[in-house]
Amino acid sequence: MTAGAWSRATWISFGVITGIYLWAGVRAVGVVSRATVGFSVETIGHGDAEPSFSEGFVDHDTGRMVHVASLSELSDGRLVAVWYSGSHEGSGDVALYLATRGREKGAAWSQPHEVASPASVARELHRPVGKVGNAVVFIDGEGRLAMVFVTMPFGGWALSSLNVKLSADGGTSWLPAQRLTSSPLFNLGTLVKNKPLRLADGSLLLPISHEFLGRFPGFLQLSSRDQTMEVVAMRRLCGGRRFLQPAAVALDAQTALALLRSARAGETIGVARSTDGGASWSEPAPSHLPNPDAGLDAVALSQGRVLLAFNDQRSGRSRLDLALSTDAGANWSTVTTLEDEPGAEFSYPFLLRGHDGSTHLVYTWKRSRLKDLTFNEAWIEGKLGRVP
Amino acid sequence: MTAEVFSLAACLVAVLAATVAFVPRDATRRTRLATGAVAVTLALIPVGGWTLPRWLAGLGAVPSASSVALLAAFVWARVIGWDVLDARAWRTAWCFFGAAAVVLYPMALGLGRLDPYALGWGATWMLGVLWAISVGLVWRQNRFALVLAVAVLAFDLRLLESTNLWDYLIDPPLAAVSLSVLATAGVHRLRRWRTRTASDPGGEDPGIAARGSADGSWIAKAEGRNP
Repeated sequence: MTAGAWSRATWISFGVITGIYLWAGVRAVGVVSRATVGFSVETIGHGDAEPSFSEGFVDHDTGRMVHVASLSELSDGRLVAVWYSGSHEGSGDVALYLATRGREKGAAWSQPHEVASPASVARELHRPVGKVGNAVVFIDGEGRLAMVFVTMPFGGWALSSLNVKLSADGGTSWLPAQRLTSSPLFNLGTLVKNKPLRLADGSLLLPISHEFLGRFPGFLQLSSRDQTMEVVAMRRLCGGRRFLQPAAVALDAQTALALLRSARAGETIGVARSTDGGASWSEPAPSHLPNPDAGLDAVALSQGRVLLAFNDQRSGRSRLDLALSTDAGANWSTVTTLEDEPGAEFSYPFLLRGHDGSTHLVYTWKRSRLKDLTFNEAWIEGKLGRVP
Repeated sequence: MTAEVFSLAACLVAVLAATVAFVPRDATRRTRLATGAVAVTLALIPVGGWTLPRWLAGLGAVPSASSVALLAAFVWARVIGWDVLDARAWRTAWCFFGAAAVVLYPMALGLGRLDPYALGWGATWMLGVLWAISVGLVWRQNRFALVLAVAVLAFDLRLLESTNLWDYLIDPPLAAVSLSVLATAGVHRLRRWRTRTASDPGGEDPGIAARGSADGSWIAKAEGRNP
C-alpha cells in the first residue's frame, strides 16, 4: 500500500490519532516549559547579634516509639512539627501526629494530635492501607500546609507509596489524602525524609528515595493546582544502592547542593550539585564526612553558608553533630557535638530556617522523644570561636 | 473520582477476561455471558471490607489503559466473536510491550543513572515517537494503533491517578505476559530450527524463517492457537 492509496478510513484514523497525540503534546509542552525555572531563594538575614539557644522536647514521653520528625513555618510564624509514633517502627498502630508552637520566645508545643492513621488514610483513599510512615511537611505553592507521607499495604519500607494531604488552616483541618505516583512498578518503594526546594514558578523539588530492589535518590517535582498536588517531573541523582535521602540546599537561583545519606554503614555522605536550577544534578560523589547509613539534613544560612546536622560516625547513631561550610559544601567545620552517648540513638535530624533568622532543629531522641533546638547564627559563630 | 471509576472498570474487564479465558471454547455465548456476570458480581463482594478492585488499588495494581484495551478486545472476541485485534495486531502488541518492558523496568528499578520513567512526564519526545509508530501502524493497517491511541487518549483524560504516560502504556502484568509470550515463541522457534538443522545439515531455509515471522504464525503457535 502506498500513501496515494490511502482510503478515507485511513485518513480519518490518521486524523483522529494525530488529534489525540496533539492534545497530549500540548499538555506535555506545558510541563517541559517548567523544567528549568530556577530556584526561589528567600533572603533571610543573619538575625540577632546576641547568641541565642534554647532546647526542649516537641512531644511528651508516652512510652511509645517516635521517629522521623519534620518542621515547617506557617505564615503567622508558628512552627508545625509532624512525626510518626506507635508501638514500634513499621507496626500497624503507627500514626502521624502534629503539634504547633507559637512564635513567641519560650512558647510551648501544643498537645500532639493525630493527623493520619492507616484507617483514616484507607477511608480517604478508598483502598486498604496497612501502615503509615515517614512524613514531611512544607508550605506548597498556594501557601497551604502540605504533608507528603508514606503508606504501605503490608510488609516493609520497600512497599512504600507516597501520598499528600493539604491544609489551608495550618494543620487544623485537612483535605482527603491523594496518592502520588512515583514508580512504574505498582507505585512501590518511594520514601521521603527531607524538605523540598522551592522553584521560581511555585512548584517544589521534593527529595525522595527509592528502596524497591535498588536504593537510590532523586527529586519529585510537585505542582499545586486547586485542591490537588500532582507530580510533574522526576529527576534521578544516581542508580544502584549507594546513596539515598537527599538533603538539598539552594545557594542561589541556579545553584544547589544535595547531601546524601550513604545506603551502607561505614561509608561517607555523598555530594551532588545542580547549576541549572535543579533541572539536572551531578553524579553524587563521596565526601570526607562519615555516615552510618543514617538520615541527615542541611539548611542555608546567611552569606551562602550551609549548616549540616548529621551522625558524625561510621557506625551507630549515638553521636549527633552540627557542621558548617562556608564554601558551598567543599569543606566543613564542626560547630558542636549535640549528643554523644554510646549505645543511645540520636537520629533523623531535620533543620528549618525561620523567617526571623533563627534555625530550628528537631531530631529523634533515643527513639522515645523528639528533641528540638532553636538557635541563631551568632550562637553558631560563638561555637566556632568566630566574631559575627 | 475519575481514576476510581476507571480502576473499577479496568478491574472488572480483567476479571471478565480471566473468566472467559477459562470458559470452554465450545460454550454458548449465553454461558460465557452468564459466567462473566457471576465473576463480576463476585469481584464486587467486599472481602475484609474491600472489593477486589479496591484491594488491587491498594496494591497499586491498577491495569494500564493499554491492558484494558487488550483485555476488552480479548473479551469482545471471545464473547461477541468479533476480533477487534487480528493476529498481526496481537503479535505487534507482544513485541511492543516486551520491548517497552525491557527499556523501562530494569532502569526504573535503579539499574544505572538514566531513568526512562522520568521521560513519561512532559513526554513530548515520547509522544512524538508513539505518534510516529502509530502513523506507521495506520499506514500498514495494523490495528495495534488502536491500542496506542486508547492509551494516549486515557492519558489526555487523566483516567489514572498517575500523571506519567508510561503508566497508561504498560503495567508489570502486561510486561510479564508480553515477555512470556515472546520467550515462549522464541523457545518454540529455536526448537523448530534445531529440528530442521538436525534433519537438514544445510541449515535453516531463510525463506521459511521470513514467512514464519511475517504471518504471525510463530507467536500464534507459541500461544497454542491458530494464527
